[in-house]
Amino acid sequence: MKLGPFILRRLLLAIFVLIGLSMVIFIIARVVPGDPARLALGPRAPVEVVEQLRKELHLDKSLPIQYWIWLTNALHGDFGKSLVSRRPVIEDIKEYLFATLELIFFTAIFMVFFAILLGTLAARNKDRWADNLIRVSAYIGVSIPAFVVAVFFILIFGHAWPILPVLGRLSSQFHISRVTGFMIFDSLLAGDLNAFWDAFTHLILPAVALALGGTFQEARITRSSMVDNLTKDFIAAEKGYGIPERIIMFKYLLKPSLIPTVSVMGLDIAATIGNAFLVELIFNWPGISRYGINAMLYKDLNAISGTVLIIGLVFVLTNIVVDIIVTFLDPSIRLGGVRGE
Amino acid sequence: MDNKEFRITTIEKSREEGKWYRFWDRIFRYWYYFSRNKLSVLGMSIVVLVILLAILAPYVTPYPEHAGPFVDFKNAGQPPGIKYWLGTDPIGRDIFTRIIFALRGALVMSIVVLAIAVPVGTLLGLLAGFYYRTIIDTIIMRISDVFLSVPSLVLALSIAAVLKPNLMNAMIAVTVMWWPWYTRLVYGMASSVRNEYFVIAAELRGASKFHILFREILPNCLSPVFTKMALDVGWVIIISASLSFVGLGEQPPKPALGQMVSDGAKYLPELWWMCIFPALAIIITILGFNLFGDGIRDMLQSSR
Repeated sequence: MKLGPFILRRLLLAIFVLIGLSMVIFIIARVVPGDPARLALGPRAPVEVVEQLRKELHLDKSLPIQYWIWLTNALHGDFGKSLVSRRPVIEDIKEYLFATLELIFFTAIFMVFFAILLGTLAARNKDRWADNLIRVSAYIGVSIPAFVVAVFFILIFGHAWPILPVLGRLSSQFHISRVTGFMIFDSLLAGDLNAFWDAFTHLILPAVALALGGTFQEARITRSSMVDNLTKDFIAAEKGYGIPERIIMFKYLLKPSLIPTVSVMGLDIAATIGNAFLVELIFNWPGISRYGINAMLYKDLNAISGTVLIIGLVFVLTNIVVDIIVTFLDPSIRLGGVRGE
Repeated sequence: MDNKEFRITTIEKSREEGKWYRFWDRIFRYWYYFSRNKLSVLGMSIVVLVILLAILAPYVTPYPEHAGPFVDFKNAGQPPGIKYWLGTDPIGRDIFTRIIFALRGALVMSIVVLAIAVPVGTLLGLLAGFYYRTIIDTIIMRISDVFLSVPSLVLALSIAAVLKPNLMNAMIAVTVMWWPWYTRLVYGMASSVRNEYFVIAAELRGASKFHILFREILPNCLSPVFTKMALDVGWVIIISASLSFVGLGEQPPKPALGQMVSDGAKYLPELWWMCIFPALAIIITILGFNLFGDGIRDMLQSSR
C-alpha cells in the first residue's frame, strides 16, 4: 500500500465518521432533552415567547431539516450561544481549546519519552529488579483512574509539600499576550523566562496525572516488543559485525520495536482526552474540557454539542497522525510492500 | 435383564461418568493454568472478596443505615479508629459502610452495562462478520466507528448530562458507549472464521443461517469476548467513578465511589480519610479485576 492513497483513504473515512458523529451529537443535544426552547427560557416563560424562540431555532420544522440547518451552521463555526457565558460557543472554544491541546501535547511527549526510556531500561534488565518494578508499576498505573492521581497530587503538592503549583495555567503576576495559544511558546516569544518557567511548572502536575497510567503500560509494550525483536536474525547479524551493544539497542532495535507502542498510543491519547475532562476540572486548568464539563453540569446544550464535536475532530485527526507514524516506522509499508508475511 | 440391555446401560452409565470426569478434569486443568501466576490468584481473591462484601453489604457493615440520609453530628469528622474503622464524614456517617455500599452500586453498574452491551455488541459483530463485505457489514461497522470516534468517557458524560443525572441514566450512557468494542472484536474473529471449511461445509449441508451463526461461528469467537469482559469490569468501574465524580452518577445521599472522592477532596487535608479511603477502594477493586482478567486471558491462551 502506498502512503499517499492510504492517507487519502483515511481522510475520507474520517469525514464519514465525523458526519456520523455530528448526527449522534445532534440526537443527544437536540432530540433527547425534549424542547430546547423551553429549556433555554426556563419553565416560567410565557408560551408565546417560547413559540417565538422555537421559530427562531427552526424547531417547528422536521428533524432532518433541523439537522441540516444545524450542520451547515456548525460547519460555518456557528454552534449558537452558550447559556452560561452568554457568548457564541465558537468564541469560547477558540479561547479554551489551545490550553487543552497544550496539556495533551505535553502529556503525549511525557508518555513517549518515559515509555521509551523505561521500556528500554526494562528490556536491558530483563527479569531483574528494574524490570519487575516497572511491571508492578504498570499493573498499578492502569488501575488508578487519572482523577484519583490528580486528587492525590492535590493532597501532596497542594497541602503536604507545596513545591509545585496545583491550580491554573499561569500565576497571576504574569501577563502573556496570546500568539500561538500555547502558554509555553507564547512566554518564550515574549522573551519572559520567568513566565516560561512558571507556565512549565503549572503544566507538570496535570500532564503527569494524565500520563501516568499510559506511560507504564506503553513501557511494558515497548519492553516485550524489544525482547521479541532481540532474537531476530538482523540483531544477530549486527552483533556478528561487532557493532557495540548500545548502538544496536538504540539505533537498530528501538525503531522497529516502537510500532506496537505507537499503535497503543492512539488508544492512550483517547483515554487522555477523556480523562482531561476530570483532570482539568481538578487542577482548574482553563481548557475546553473544563468548559465542556461545566456546560454538561448546566445542561448548556449548544456548548455541549460544540465541545464534543471539536473533541471528536481532534481525536480523529490524532488517530490519523498515529496511523501515519506507524506506517512510517514500518519499512515494509513505507517502501510500498505488504505488511507481514 | 438380559445381557445386551445390561451392557447398554453400563455403557451409558460409564459415558455419563466420563462426562463428569471430563468436566472436573477440565476445571482442574483450567485452575492449574490459572493458578500458575500468583498475581492472578491474588486478583481472584480480591474479586471474590469485593463481590462478597457487596452482596452481604447490609450484614457485614457496622452501620448499614449510614448509606443514606443519616445525620449524627455528635460523631462528625471522627478520624479512623476502633468505633469507625475508616472515620466519619462531616455529618457523622461511617466511611467504611458507605464505601461498601458504593462498591455495590459500582458492581451492579458493571453487571448491567456488560449484560446489555456484550450480547448486543457480539450479535452485531457476528452479523457484520457473517455478511462480510456486504451492505449490512458496512452499515454496522461504520456506525460502530462513529461511536469509537470520540473518547467513550466524553460521550458518556454528555449523554448522562442531557438525561436526568442518576444511576440508571449513567448506566444507559455507559452502555450506549460500550457495545462497539465488542462489535469490532467479534467482527474481526467472525469475518476470518466465516470462510473456514467447517462453515462452508455446514452451508453446503443446507444448515440454517441461525445454525451457522450461533453453532458454527459464535463458539469460535467467545474466548476473547470472555477475556475482554473480565478486563472490562475494571474499566466500567473507572468510568462510573468518573461519572459520579462530576456528579452525573448516583445522587447523594446514596454513596458512589467517585462522589465520595470528590466530596472528600473538599475537606482536604483535615479530613483526609474521607478522600483517601474511597480512592484506595477504587484502586484495589480495579487492580483486582485487572489481575483477574489478565489471569483469565493467560489461562484461555495456554489451555488452547
